[in-house]
Amino acid sequence: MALKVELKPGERILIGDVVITNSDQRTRFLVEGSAPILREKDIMTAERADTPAKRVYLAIQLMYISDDPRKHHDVYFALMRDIIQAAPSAWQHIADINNQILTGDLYKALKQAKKLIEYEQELLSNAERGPGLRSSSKADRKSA
Amino acid sequence: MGDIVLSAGVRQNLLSLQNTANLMAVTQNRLATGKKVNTALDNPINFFTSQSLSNRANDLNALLDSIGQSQKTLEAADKGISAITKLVQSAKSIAQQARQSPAPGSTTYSAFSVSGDPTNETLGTTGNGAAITVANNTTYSFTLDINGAGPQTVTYTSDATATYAEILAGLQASFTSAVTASGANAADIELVANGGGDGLSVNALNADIDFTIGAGAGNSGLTAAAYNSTSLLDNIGSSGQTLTVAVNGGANQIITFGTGPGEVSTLAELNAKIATLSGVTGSASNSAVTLNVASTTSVQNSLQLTASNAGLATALGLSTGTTQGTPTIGSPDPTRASLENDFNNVLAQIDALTRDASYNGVNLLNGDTLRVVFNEAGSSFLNITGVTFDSAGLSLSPASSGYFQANGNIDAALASVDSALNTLRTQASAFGSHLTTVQTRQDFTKGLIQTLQTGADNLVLADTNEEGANMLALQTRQQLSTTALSLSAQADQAVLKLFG
Repeated sequence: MALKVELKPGERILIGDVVITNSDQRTRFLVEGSAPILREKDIMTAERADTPAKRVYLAIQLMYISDDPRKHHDVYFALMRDIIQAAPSAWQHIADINNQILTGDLYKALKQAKKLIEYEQELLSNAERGPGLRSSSKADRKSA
Repeated sequence: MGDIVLSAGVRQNLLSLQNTANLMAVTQNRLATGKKVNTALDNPINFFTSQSLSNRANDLNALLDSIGQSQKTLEAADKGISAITKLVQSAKSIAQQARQSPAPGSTTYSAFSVSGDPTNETLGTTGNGAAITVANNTTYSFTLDINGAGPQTVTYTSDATATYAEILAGLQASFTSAVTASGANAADIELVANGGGDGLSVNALNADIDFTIGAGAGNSGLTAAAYNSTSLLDNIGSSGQTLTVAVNGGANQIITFGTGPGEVSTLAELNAKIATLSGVTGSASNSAVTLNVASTTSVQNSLQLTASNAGLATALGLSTGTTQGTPTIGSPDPTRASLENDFNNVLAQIDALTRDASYNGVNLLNGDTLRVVFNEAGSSFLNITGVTFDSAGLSLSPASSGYFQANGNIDAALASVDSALNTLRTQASAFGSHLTTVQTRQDFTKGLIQTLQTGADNLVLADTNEEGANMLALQTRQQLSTTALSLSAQADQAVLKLFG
């Protein structure tokens, strides 16, 4: 099934193991085949991966574009273990990601990993704002 | 005692004590099991998350077993192909060795003859005439009609001193002229003395000659009558019949029987005609008609005779049809014969190996197919079609006895061995890539199970505030951890560095 790709001027896309940079006009083309395809906006670089969930995204991305995904499995498991221990409520997102990887659909796994990043963002912003009365958190209770 | 009334202070202390006692019991329980979350009542969310992690690990374990079986089946097929490839290569070297051995001596085909007893020809003859009366000054004569050409007179008048010899010589001179005048010649008919008794005898020498003696002065002593010969043509019964001779599969050589030019009417003429045929020698006479074909080497010799009608065949006494020389095969080369046996043995080993390449009842080299399921729902799977790689499936047929004696046969065997090697190579790479896919999935599943099992025991918090704090701490910790370092190293090797 062909994938329709539309690139803005100067936008880049990764197909297989090459990077294609568009020239200064909008381009449209069809891609067929089983090579990995990633648009520029979906690509996570090592510099930008500074939170645990983003690192998980990077690991999955490496599995997707690599010819031997097994090299990246150990790193992925270590990262996943860290997240589950730190925030068990993220388990449902992790389970979705794992299911997609098991099925072999790494592109969908990346999409699920994006959701994990958003959830993590929620947790981190909660923590940064500090304790306070919010509808989602429990109030401290003292015994009567 | 009656009612016990507790003051507010005492009640508060009592509740504190009860709480503490509860907490102590819980802590002791936790210390005993090592798990922070023992029952659903401790911490429902954690407990059920932990439960689901364990359940997931168990489900994946079951799946892992079946993936492992599939992987072993693929490995058995892969090993089988390697072993078969080695066997086919050894078959190739056996065939090449046979090709370089000396070829056996060629087959010789014997010389043979076809012969028959023809219907005999007869020559017309007057037989012995009556003795002539020798008298002086007497005319002796008779008429001679050869083949209906018209009566010619043969005559001689004796002189005053007549002798038998003189009369004979005179009549013979006249006879010669008469014969020539009739269109025949001295080889066809003769006038001779009859042995003893002073009489005459006229004999046809050629089966084509029919002659009639007419009455003359009556003193020749010959009886007036028709004297006919029976020729081969007469025996055949009709003109224009043909005998077709094909030697060693060559062009047809046709002998036509008749009286026209080039046609044969007597056995004598047939004898001369046979000498002009190519590829055969032979003879024709009243005793036999014979055709001989010489022996040949490597190529079968043969003689095919066709008579245009049954009368011709009977007249010649020959049986028509094809006759061939018997072959004597050159003695087979013993090296080639033993290499041929070795070749067939290798093929039998290939068959045995193919049958043994099964694992868990599935043999991908004997036509079975394998379905590898990667998730519990069965929606992610890989179908692997088997092949049939016994010697028949590889188009390698065993050599029949004596097959390797001919170079052309060995060349054909080498060609089919080469094409079998190609088939094996292609299939080995197809199985190899399936094996990699299955192994990758298997490794991931194993890693996941381990992680789940660790995670199930180590759940710590359910509070989202605490989780947020933990995530921040993890973020800082990871910047210094080896995990992040190896992740960066891996990212550098990929094409990602082009994105900067």
